[in-house]
Amino acid sequence: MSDTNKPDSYKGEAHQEELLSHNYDGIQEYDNPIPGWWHMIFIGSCIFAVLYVVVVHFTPMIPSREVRLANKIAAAEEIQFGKLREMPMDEVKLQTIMGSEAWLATGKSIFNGTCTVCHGKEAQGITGLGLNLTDDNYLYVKEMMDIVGLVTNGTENKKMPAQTLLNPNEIAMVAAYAASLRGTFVPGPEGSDAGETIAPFPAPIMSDDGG
Amino acid sequence: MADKAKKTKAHQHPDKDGLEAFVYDDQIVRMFAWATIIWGVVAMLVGVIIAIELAYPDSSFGISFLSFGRLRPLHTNAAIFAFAGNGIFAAIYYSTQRLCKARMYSDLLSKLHFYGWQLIILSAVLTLPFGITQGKEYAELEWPIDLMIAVVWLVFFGGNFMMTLIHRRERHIYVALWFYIATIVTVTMLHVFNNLWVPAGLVYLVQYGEMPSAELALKSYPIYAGVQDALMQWWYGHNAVAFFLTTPFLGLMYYFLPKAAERPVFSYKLSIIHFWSLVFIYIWAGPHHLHYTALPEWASTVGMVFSVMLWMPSWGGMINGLMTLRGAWHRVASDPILKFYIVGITFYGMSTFEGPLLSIKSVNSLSHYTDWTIAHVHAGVLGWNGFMTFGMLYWMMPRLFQTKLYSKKLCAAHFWIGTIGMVLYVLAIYAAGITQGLMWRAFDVNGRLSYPDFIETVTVLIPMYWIRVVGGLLYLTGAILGLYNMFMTWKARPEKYEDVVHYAPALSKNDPADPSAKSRLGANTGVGHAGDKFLQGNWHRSLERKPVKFTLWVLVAVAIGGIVEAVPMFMVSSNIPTITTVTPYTPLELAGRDIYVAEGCYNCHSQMIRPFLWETMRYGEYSKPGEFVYDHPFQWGSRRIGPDLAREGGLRTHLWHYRHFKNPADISENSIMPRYPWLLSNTINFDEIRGRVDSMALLGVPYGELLLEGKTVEHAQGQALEIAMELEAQGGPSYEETYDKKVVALIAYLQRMGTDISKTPPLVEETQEEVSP
Repeated sequence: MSDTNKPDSYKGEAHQEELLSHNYDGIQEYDNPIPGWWHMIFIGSCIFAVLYVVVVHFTPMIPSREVRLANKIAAAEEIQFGKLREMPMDEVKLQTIMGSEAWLATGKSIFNGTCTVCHGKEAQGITGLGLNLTDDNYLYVKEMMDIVGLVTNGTENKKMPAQTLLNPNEIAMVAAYAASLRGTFVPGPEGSDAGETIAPFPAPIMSDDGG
Repeated sequence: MADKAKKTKAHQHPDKDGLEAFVYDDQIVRMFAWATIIWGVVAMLVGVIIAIELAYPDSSFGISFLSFGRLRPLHTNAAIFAFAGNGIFAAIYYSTQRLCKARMYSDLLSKLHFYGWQLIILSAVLTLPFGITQGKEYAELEWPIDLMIAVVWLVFFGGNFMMTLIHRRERHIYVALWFYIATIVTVTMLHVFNNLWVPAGLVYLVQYGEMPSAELALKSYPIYAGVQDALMQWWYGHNAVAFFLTTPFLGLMYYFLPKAAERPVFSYKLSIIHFWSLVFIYIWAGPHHLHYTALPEWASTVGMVFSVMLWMPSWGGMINGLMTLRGAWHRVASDPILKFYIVGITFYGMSTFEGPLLSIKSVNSLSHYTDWTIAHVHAGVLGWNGFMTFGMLYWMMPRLFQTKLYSKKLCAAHFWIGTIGMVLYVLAIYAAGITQGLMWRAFDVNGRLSYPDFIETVTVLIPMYWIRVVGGLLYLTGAILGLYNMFMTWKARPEKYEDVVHYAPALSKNDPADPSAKSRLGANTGVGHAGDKFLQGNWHRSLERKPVKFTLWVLVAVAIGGIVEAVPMFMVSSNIPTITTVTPYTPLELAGRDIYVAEGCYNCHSQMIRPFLWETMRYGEYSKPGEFVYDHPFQWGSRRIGPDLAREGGLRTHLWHYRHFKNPADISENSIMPRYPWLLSNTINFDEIRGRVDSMALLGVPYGELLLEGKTVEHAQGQALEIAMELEAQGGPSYEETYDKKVVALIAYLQRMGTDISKTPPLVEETQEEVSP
């Protein structure tokens, strides 16, 4: 390897390269300088590190992640619930939700994330876990507001758990959506039609703005 | 080369110049080389199996030891410690002897190292699939194996290596050896501090005078809990990547690349600066695995900025690697070994750019918990570690077996098949990761989650999971070709290996020192002169003469980052504000939690809700540091193949869980979770729960009266019966059938998860409405 200080296909810069006297099992080393861009990016990344720490942790420019989340939640409440936030939890609130396509869509979204695991994708029921919500038979519900009670507290026999992750407006929306499914009659598995036929739920209250 | 001229055969006596004769131990290299390729094939095969399990969930057939949660740790441990591990040992044993002009210090230690390490791997194969695990990623192996690792690594391997350095015949230690030193020192430190535990079986033995079961005998709890455990684990986990998969492979590169290319290394100066900056900075980067978790934000920031600063130190290795190939590019076309190296180093460069990118908090908020991370590590391990290892093996085969390589064509085929497989794998999984990450955070016009049902974000990935299977199969095929090529080369070996005798003078005590630098500055202060001398770097040349001193400086460099991050986390209580309603797990819940750990649930489910709207809307209130103070070990997870479970408690009925474990697809049509029928039939050993609770008490978990009155077992049985009766009331099987089954303990734990925070203080201690068993 004595010819290594005359690189065969690197003649262009060969004169700049100085080979050190190092030799380890035949491996030699050039005394080339470190590329300038390496230094620049390395020093740049160090400057970025210092600036980042100062700006994020020692100035008020960026609010903490808790504050940012709280702001997001507040803004999202406005979009999701609008005037529902001022309405008391009663039948009128549920009827109002049922009269709005947008709010029903929200109710459906909550339903898909929370209820389908037991009541099935089409709310048709799952044997032993959840009842069919699309027929006229109800086991724990006598009137529409009972749905709110069920979602909030679950059933006494613990066959349905309380949905503790939902806030009251979300409960109202998912209850209204569940009520709106009545009468769509998706065929469910055996036993999912348990309960008795109850009086019809009150009609939706149509609103112009839709929330 | 001087020493080559002196090669003669089998003359053992030194000649009159006072030269010492020595023979390199290549047998140990051959052994490690075989272990590398064979374990490599095993690791990749297990990888393909679990890849199929994700694409086609029932392919584990309801068999416990084939389930994803148990096999995935086997895959990762085999890839890291068996494939890459044996690979670096082969590299180190081959190159260290030649770089030191000395045979390994002790053949016995070399052999003990080899057999000890294979025994460790075998122990992993015999424990991990059977649910014997510590439940911390890449540190899953239980405490007796941890002890074996400590002895084999530090005493057999580290001792042998250091003694070889001390008895070397080459004055200066070459850059490859610096990286080996950093590897040995740091892995020891990481392994010891992340594996401090209390063995539950021994606690039971001391308390009650017997060992109730093999399961408990092998069980341990880490001394750290929650946030602190998470910090230690990812300090370890990240630096396992750094000091097991990066530094030894850089050392490997610095020896085998210039050898194969027959070119000098590009820049000695770059070697120095990128070595020291790499080992100093890498150790700080661990917390970037915990962005937006309950880890305090300052630690997260430290992890991020150090990761960004790590970019150039990492790339120093890539520059030195690729630039060394200048003048050898024409040979790349014809030499598959150089192709392996070029692709390997290129993947190293991509991974070490992507690493800093992923450590930036906002990028991480998208990538974390998704397959993006999985794609990132596979680019690193398949591309960098795998290809560097294969390149090394192919270069060594003719030298080790003292014959021609069986087939260069097969070697080239391996390269191309492996490359295509790797590209297929990572592209599909990048796409899967980014797709799922975006779906999780998507909102509709009404301000709600676009994909509220988690399963929707899984089903869409299945085609990409199949592409991964194909990619993995191709990569595995390449490795099998490598194994075949090696086998055929070995078959053509000479009847007896020739032991080449080398001669070199011993290092004399009064060797002239390296020239010290002269200041190049004219009129200046003393400080200026000193600074200029320092910048010229001759001091480093002197340091290279003193391996022990060098090792101590490496230890200092790697210890600083860990100390600065860990000490405040343990000493400053404001990092983990107390939540008064958080109480210890009941004995049965603790037993259930241990089942959660044993089944490897953390491989697919996180327990950590980040403070983002899209997470709190899906999973509930974000996780707080104080919620995890009794979690030995923490189970935050790193990937959401299934949904987060941090607030799972109370959301579903016992019956739902029972049936879901029996067969998830019964309830959730497209679920990719495996069946867990054995949880429904295997029984709880109530008696040994005492050992679990006593161990927790030893770690400072306040169990109070329950312990004093010796009512642990009674309490556990009471709670199990309660749950079993509720299960029956909900329409499940009779309580007599279920109350002593593992599933009941696991349900007890699941129903507790994340519920303490919403309880109203002051909390009444354990509910005493017990049903006598």
